[in-house]
Amino acid sequence: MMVRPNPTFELMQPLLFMSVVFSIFLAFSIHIALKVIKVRDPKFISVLYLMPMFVPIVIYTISFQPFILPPLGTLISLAQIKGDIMYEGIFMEDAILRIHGSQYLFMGVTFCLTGLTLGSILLAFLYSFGSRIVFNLRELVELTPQENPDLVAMTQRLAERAGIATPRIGINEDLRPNAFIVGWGRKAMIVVTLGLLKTLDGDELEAVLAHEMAHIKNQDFHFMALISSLKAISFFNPLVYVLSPAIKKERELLADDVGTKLLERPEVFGRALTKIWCASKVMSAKSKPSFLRQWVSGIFIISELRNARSFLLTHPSLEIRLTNIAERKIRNRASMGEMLRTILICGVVMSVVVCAFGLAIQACFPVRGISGPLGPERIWYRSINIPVNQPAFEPRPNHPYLTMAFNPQGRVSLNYPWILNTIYISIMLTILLKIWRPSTVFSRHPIRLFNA
Amino acid sequence: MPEADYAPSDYRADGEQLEAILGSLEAKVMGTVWGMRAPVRVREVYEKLKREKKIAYTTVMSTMNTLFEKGLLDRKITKGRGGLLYVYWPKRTRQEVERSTVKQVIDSLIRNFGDSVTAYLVEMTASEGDKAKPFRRIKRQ
Repeated sequence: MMVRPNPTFELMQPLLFMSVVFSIFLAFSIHIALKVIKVRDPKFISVLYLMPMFVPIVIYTISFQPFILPPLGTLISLAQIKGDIMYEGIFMEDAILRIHGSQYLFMGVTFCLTGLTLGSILLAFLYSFGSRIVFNLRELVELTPQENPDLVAMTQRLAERAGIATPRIGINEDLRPNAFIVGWGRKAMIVVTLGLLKTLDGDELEAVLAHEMAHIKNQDFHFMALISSLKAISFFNPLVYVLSPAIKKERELLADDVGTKLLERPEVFGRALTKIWCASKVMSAKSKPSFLRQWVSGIFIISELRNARSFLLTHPSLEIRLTNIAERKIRNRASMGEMLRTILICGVVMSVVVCAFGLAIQACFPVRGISGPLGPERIWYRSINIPVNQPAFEPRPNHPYLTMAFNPQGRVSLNYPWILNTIYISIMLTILLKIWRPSTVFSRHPIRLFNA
Repeated sequence: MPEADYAPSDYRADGEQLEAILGSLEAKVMGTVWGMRAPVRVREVYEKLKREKKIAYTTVMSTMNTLFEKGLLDRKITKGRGGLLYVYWPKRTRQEVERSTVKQVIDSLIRNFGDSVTAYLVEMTASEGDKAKPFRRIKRQ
């Protein structure tokens, strides 16, 4: 019997459903924990808010890893985390694969494959061609040291104070006052617009350069690259479109904090921000950037100083920034105790929410003989049990690109989701190692294996 | 209402062509702008001049701003790939600038050295040398 795919059923696929639901639960738990502990450290907050975006990677890793799955499967079935359900002695996903003409796993795995592909390509693209694209898109010109020696001297002075290599300086013809970073590490370039040079005086320009320098020091290029790729992976999850600007706002506050510490008079930065905001308001009335330009800028450019006038702002409001600068809120970094307490509360809230959700689903959708604990598989099972979705247990060849590791014959077949997931995790770990510099950490705390 | 004549602030007798009334870079920039299809951007002029000799972008930018202030270029704000930027175009053609310059210089010479100018012009029209060719042409007309 030809079965028609049911869209509701496909959306309830545990793979898809759990990656969305768990990330929302985790984001909610983090939000509650931060409210309870009242942590003000933007670095810690931005890292915490990044965690829900990793949820799909974790779910895919658990779902697709063929070699770790058998031993892990035992552990997972004990903890009942994975939520695979059994039907007449075989895994449900496995059974679904056998349905004649079935498309049931296609949406979930297609979303997964599409997301992983987009995320990996975007990450590789950002690092390989990102700077060149911005150069061409914004028509930037690199300033030679002879062209503007004051600006170059200012940059060198600030870079020495920040303890980083002196970045290059670029200029953009735009008459709107703005500054941003292109590239990372030693190749980083601080770009200032013509409008900025005309609007600000020497001290104010130095303050803006200090803010941009702070972004380089905080390794924000890597951070933003990670956010963009994780957003691409979870493109179907509305939460990422809310989390991404929230994280960017925290990184801006962190850059404000680190940047003002490089200045002798931090209040000058407040003056500069106000001037930029006023001038931007006038100039923005003359034109709005196209959607494509805004989208590309959002991905490739780090920290446009000018406030974006979009629904989900990536910069904190001017009032908050000015208040922080005026009150000289020297943000003490969150202590180890505060961080651990926050994580603990987050864990507790998460557990409560997950259990409550599972119980609610079990109460609303009672299904006999199902061992899954959490809920989505119950909704899923209910929807597949309507006659049109009933599985038929005849072994059928499946689309080769969507063959799961645990196929009916028990042979490990070529697992494209696993391959893509592994590639993405490898790239991500490389980036994280670059940011955290474990060699520096271990040099401070050497692990002695042998006595010298 | 017709545009007022361009009045150069000074005239250097040893300068060649436009360099007699403008700085060397200003003359180069004006020459380039006249040779391009208006309106032009700073970057376009910079790219063209860069091929002939090493030049700084900000130098071209400030030169074009100076030429705008002198009344040789006009500009407006337009939306481009780099954002909101100035585009420039020549306010006068090369011939208009040259004619205006000649008029200003000769009027000044006549005002200050009237008799000597007349005597010189008569001498030139009667002369047979190459230097007098333009004057003989005027005489024939």
